[in-house]
Amino acid sequence: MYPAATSSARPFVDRETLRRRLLEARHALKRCNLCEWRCGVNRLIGDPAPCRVGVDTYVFKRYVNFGDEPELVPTYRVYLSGCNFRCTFCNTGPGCFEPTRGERVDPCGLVAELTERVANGAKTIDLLGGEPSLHMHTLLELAAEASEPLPLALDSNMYMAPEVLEWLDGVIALYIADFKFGNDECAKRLAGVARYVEVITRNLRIAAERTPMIIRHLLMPGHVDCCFRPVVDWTVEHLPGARFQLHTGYVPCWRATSDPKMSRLTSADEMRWAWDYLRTKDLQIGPEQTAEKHADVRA
Amino acid sequence: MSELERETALEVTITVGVDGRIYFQDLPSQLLPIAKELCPCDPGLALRYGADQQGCGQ
Repeated sequence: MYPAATSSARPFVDRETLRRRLLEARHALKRCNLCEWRCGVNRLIGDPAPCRVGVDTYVFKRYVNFGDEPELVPTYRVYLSGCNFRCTFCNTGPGCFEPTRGERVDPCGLVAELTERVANGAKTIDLLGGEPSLHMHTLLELAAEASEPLPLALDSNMYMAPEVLEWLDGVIALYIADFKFGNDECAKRLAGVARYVEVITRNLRIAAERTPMIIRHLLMPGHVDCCFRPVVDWTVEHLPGARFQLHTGYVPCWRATSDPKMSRLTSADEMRWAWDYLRTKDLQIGPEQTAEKHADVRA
Repeated sequence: MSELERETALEVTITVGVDGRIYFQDLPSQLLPIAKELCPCDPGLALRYGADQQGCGQ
């Protein structure tokens, strides 16, 4: 059975706990250590952080999507502005890096919209970005405003501080974890972040203990041995049987178009090798991809 | 309201891979019939199409 942010898996945190966490989260913005940049800036007064995100949350795109994992669709995708990564191949970059792009979130209004979506059949509210965990205080506010728990999925790079996972426990029904890189060197070169493997693997373990999770990996050209294989091997060893979604639809975007290694599509040989490797592992890899003319929808 | 309901264009990326596969980065319901025409044998896509036909997420 795959994890899903459906009604049967909805979390619940009582209002008093939510209010307490919300106060703590707002206080934490005074010296922000919400992610492993641990920059310590005061977001309440707009100090410059690496992510440049302040206290307000902005949404730059939202729509009903049928392209996520089959067990999740239809999802209502809500793109939150601002990111703490600078992936050279980002398919929403550089626009998503702009922290005030789009409309400022009014929690009451957004909760009403999300509640209506769920009532009309959306199985999952897919919070993505940018990096949605930078808006933890807003996510708590949404949960506090909702009269019924919402099926919130956090579609995240998982570079958050462990305290964020504590605050979101019982608020987030599903983690959609982007496990992008298999080593620190690629993470530094392609996303500009340090200690990647240590941070991400720590957070995956913590999140998996308490919340359903889908691990996604985007197969990148020339990164089969250095990224794909270590990601799969770590997952098999530490989270055996995990729901793992391989995305083979890499398209060079943003700065990747001028990177000699990243400016091509993933080759047919790389895809074949990756799928063959994955099929031998103790993971739930979703529907078999056997159709000759196949639509691989990806996040 | 979503982008489409506000009559704001929704940017989507569709790519044909070197293996002949068709990649949809975004798949709103308006694109599902087209995707199904292009890829009639895709089991995952059939599941998505079925969810849309049931009126989910409208």
